[in-house]
Amino acid sequence: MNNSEIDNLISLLSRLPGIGPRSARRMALNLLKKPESLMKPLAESLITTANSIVNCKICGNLDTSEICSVCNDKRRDVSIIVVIEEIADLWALERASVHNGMYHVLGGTLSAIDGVGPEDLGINSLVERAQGSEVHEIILAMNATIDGQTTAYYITDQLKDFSVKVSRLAHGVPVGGELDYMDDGTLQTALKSRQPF
Amino acid sequence: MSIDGFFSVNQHNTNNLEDFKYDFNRVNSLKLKNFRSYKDLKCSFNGGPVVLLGPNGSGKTNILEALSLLSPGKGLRGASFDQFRNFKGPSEWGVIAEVASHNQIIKISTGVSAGRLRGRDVKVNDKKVSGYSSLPSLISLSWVTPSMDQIFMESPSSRRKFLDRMCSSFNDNHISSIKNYEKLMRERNRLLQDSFSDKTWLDTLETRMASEGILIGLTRIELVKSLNDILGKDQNPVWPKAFLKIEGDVEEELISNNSDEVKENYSKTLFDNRRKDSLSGRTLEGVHRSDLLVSERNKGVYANQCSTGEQKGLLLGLILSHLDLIAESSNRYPILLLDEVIAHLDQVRRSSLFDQIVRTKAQVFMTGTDVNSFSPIKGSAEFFSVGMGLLKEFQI
Ligand SMILES: Nc1ncnc2c1ncn2[C@@H]1O[C@H](COP(=O)(O)OP(=O)(O)O)[C@@H](O)[C@H]1O
Ligand SMILES: [Mg+2]
Ligand SMILES: [Zn+2]
Repeated sequence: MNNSEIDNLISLLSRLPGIGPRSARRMALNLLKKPESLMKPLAESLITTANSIVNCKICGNLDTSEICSVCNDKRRDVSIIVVIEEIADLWALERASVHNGMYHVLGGTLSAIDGVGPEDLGINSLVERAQGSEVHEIILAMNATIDGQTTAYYITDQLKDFSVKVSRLAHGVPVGGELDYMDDGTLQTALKSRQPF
Repeated sequence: MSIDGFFSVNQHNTNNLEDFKYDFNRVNSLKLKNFRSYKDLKCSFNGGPVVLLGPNGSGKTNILEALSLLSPGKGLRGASFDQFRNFKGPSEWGVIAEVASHNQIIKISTGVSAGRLRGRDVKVNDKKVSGYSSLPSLISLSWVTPSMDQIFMESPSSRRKFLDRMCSSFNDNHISSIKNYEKLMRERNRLLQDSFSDKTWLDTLETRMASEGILIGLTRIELVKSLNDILGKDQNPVWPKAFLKIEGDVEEELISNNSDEVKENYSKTLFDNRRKDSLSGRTLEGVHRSDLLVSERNKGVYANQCSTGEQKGLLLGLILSHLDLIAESSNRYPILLLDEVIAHLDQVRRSSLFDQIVRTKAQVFMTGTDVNSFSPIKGSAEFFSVGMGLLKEFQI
């Protein structure tokens, strides 16, 4: 292959997680075969989404408006905030429909080695939110990894002077487990059996 | 070595009712793909002692090394991960074993796929798992290799690793605790290098290091105590008797103090050492600095002052007592890998070791160059000749 446009497409596709060069070539070929029915609609959808997507000002979720649909939903319980590492974790909890409260996405975990400190995560804004009178409980739902748990301990320490109740997920989350890969039942027990931190 | 036998349970040695209370760790079959000198090897074992014979360089240790990768870490050579692939083959490699564990047959596979530079993946029944937290509860291995002849002369770190490996079959969570501790320590070391360091963050890391460190220390103490008890009973009289002691502040404190107090002291030491540690770029005190001191009971001298032969005897006696200990404490038998051990033993010790190998319910893999040195166990062992990337079973 020496068509640079196609090469470029393939190399972009292969940057997606789980897509190696071989699958990228297959995907590109598929798209090229269906320029009208697949390729152009996909390209348009990509552009539209890219232009409208923003991080929610409150929780960090991705949505097309500044306040995401979760934060905007008046039927949800504003007194409970579940803190998660990644947007994928929020989506996982939403897919399982196990939590009817609010969220707070940190965007990672504390990791000195990777140069991620408290100021790089949404910890300050969480501390601010936790002081709101309507907030009664913060549930820490970080992954059961070393960095996830260090972050959980850190946040607990930051919140210890406020009246808000701090709890964390307990049984159900296997050691080394990641929320995004867990089934709904496991997520539900994990959320139910949360314990004070 | 037919593929048919690959997923069948072997019943060797399990006719005795008594045996059912034990959990046999046993490798029933092994596949190597592009691993070291093996392009594609399949073999199966019947559960009895296995003897691998072949000239130097024929690939015997490579087989034992593959087996050793069924426990977490870098295997019995302590090799770096880029050494495992066959140099002439593609960059992926794999070790796939069918293992009897907890009265079930499971498939444990490990290796890397192309392009991966660090570490190795571990799968149990084709599902990816964390090797550190999953493997120790499923399979336990211990080994004696020629390079371990130096263990009493080397730096504390090799004895500490040896100690922790023995601990891992004693407590399934030990290696996880060590990995957690090391991770927390790296984080702390890094944080101490930044001029502006977050105190709460450091506190968190130090508190958690202390908790993990205490768990590590407690397991080490318990193992050493139990091993000393067994060694004191003199069950294997032909071997020089070792006496073990851990040299390390935390472990020494734990022997006579309440663990909560020691934990508090531990965090406090880390807190007090921040400046020193920051200047030296590492954590100067803690369980990651401990050493295993081994002495010869009757003479009362340290192992490093014993003759080479005595040191080897101390080590083997220790490994065999560890096997007894694990069998007693967990009703489970670790797999034993003996690389070039037999040839270097005198007549008395060799026949005592063979006696034990035939008697034990543990699966034992041995290597050697001379078939004659194994003739005493020709009735009870499986013999394979190793060479040209193949294993061939033969009768003697
Ligand atoms: N990564 C590798 N790729 C191919 N061959 C290897 C690799 N590592 C070691 N070998 C070869 O394996 C042989 C050593 O095998 P080894 O198991 O140590 O032999 P021995 O039977 O003496 O124990 C040597 O010939 C060495 O060149
Ligand atoms: Mg060898
Ligand atoms: Zn939101």
